[in-house]
Amino acid sequence: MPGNPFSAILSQTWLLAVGDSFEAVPVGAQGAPAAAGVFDAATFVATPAGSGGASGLLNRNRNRNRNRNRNRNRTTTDPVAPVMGETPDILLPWREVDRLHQLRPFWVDLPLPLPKAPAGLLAETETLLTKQAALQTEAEAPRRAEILREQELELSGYLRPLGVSNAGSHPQTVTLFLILARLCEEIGLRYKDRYDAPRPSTINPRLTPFIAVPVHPSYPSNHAFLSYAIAFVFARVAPEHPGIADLFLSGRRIAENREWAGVHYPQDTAAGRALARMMTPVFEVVLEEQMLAAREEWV
Amino acid sequence: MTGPTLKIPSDGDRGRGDYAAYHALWHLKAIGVLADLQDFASDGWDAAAARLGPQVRRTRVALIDVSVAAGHPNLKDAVDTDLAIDFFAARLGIPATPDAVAARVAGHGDALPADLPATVGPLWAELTTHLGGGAADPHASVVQPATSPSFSAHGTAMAGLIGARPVAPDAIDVAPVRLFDPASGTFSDLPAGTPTAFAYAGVDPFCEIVPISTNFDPEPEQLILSLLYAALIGADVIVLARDFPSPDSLAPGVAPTAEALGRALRVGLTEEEMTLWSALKDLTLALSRRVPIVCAAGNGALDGVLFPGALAAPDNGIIAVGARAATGQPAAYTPVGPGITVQAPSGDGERLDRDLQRLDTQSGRFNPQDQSAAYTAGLGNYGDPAFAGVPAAGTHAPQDLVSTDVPGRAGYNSSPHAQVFGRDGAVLDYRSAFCRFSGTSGATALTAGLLSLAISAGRIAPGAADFGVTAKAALRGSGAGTAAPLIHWSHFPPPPPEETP
Repeated sequence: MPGNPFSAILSQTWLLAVGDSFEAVPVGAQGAPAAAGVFDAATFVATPAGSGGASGLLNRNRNRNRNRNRNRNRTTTDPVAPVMGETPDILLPWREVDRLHQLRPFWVDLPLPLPKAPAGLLAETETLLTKQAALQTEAEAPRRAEILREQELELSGYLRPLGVSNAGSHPQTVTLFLILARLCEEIGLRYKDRYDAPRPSTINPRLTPFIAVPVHPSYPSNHAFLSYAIAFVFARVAPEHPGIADLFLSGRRIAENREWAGVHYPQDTAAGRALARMMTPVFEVVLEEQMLAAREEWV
Repeated sequence: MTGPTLKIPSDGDRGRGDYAAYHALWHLKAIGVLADLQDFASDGWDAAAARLGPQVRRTRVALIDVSVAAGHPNLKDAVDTDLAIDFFAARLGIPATPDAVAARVAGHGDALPADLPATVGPLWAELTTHLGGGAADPHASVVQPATSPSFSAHGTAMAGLIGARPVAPDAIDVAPVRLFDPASGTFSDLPAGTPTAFAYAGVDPFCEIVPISTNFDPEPEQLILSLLYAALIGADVIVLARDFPSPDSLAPGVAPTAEALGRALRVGLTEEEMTLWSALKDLTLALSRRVPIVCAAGNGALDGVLFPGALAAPDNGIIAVGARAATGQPAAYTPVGPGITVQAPSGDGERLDRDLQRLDTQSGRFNPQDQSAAYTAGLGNYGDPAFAGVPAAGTHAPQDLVSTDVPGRAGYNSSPHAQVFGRDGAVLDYRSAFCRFSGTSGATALTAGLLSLAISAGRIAPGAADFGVTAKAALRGSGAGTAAPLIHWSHFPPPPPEETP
């Protein structure tokens, strides 16, 4: 009689890995392997007779996850080259919008810090002036190209760190990011209108933004919000992916580029990042179906 | 019909995918926790069971990872849902049960423990104030934890390897395959009347696991707070299968300044960030002397080890874990070399490079015609009837680790059922509750579990200021001094019996 409650349970039923699936085999039941010394000779046993069971009847997912991608093969590619393949457009994601609004109490009043008062905003423009000057140097030529490209929604900066060189190869992941863009735009605009913070060039006329200044308020930055939302949500979808740190860094670059362009303060970037982090629990419920579909492209 | 048959000539030589079945707990026998896979006797479990009592606190394992599907039948008694906390979604953490955490923090948060670096003092003060309820902010309580079971696969597999509890057949209802007879309008079950246990166990089914969930934003603050929380709740073992993505580890070889690393990583790193990364390193080293920190070495087959496992040294309690395949060989993906503290069982991998040729010749994907005989001669699969013999470097092990998986559609092992439970509450698909798992993550979980069992069984005792250092030395056993010994229960012998006068 064993001196613990568990050995007896294990000796009555064997949990066996069979092919890509598992079988719980009552020991001693008809058809079960004889309780001979097979396990002691090696860790193998013969495939039990009739092990088809339900796994033979059902169309099982045949994934053989090996879970050893993590921290392996960080993708180092040209950080400027756009991802090939047409980014698909999506219809309005009405199910996800509907689910988002059913959860409204969990996201309409998240504790973002209040934006700085005008004096504080003016102080933040000092670093923007430095960036404005540096942006015109030869060393920042790639950044100028990025800023122009990133005025519109552009997924290259999020797909490249994941090793996606052609948007068509991971359609569910791309669709997930496009749905997120739609939801983040709506949520971000709601918060922007609440605080109604002026853009940097309004506060400091010495700033001459590199691109047209968007007409909506400054705080929080929707570029930062979307970039970090994609990174945080993907970190839930496939935390095993070796490119996650690069995805965060690329998102951070896209967010910081808006400071270099002169259209956002550092506080806007920080608030977008904080909002994305707090929104992730809501997103993982609202977007569960699409996130699971995207996960199947990776695991 | 006569004439040629439409058939690819070489298809007959392909791997058949006819892997032999194996027991899900093979790794417990390999590390000596189970004496055999017949009676499943375990003197470690016996000793832990004998020590259980109202005055004995269960061994507390802090799992710094993604979230855990704590409702899994094998895990519901293993996961401490009072102390679980989420640092993914909120800076200072969202405790699963704020009152329980506040009670735990009471009296512990006054001052930073003297053995931890002063640089983390401000964060310690913020954390303990927040968790103690001293700065309760109803506005902040809107934020929810990012712990949906659907996206908890890695943490669930880690938790299962460490501390899953076997569930007896009479304690769980598994739905049979149900057939419908349209003629009579009745249902019948197939097969009839065979109860099914969730017969799976972690290394230490007596421990309690505290999930500390994190995100993967490469910033140091949440990692500092995660370690401080583990210290605050008195964790006995800390598990870190994830790496710390510090700027210098993401851009190796670059001068360790904010300016140079920022340029390499193409973002605006600040001095404050660099100071915090430095504080994280100091904290990891200091805390590990008191509490062993079990780290995955990484899956890149490099000579180097991931940070923070790379910090492992004889005078700290950081343990860098490599993976050993069921053949007894180092797994194809594991780092090897002096940086590895121990090896533990895990799944194998495939490689075809100058250092190692090891392929899964039994896989349906393997076609000898696609390969070169110059490379594949002598390769084979451990347990393949076509390849009998003693394992050599080229022998691939088809066994992965098996662990608990998020039941249902999510997780590593998906299910055709949209819901886990049927109308009568029975589990519709027990198979989806288990998964294959591999990598040095799995080896790390087993190592943490073995340390936990040694504590639960009374073979080593936490509490001393250098417990991390001594626990690590014990874990290595007599292999200390040699490279990467296999972890084994025999490294934790019972104390010699007292002589009767």
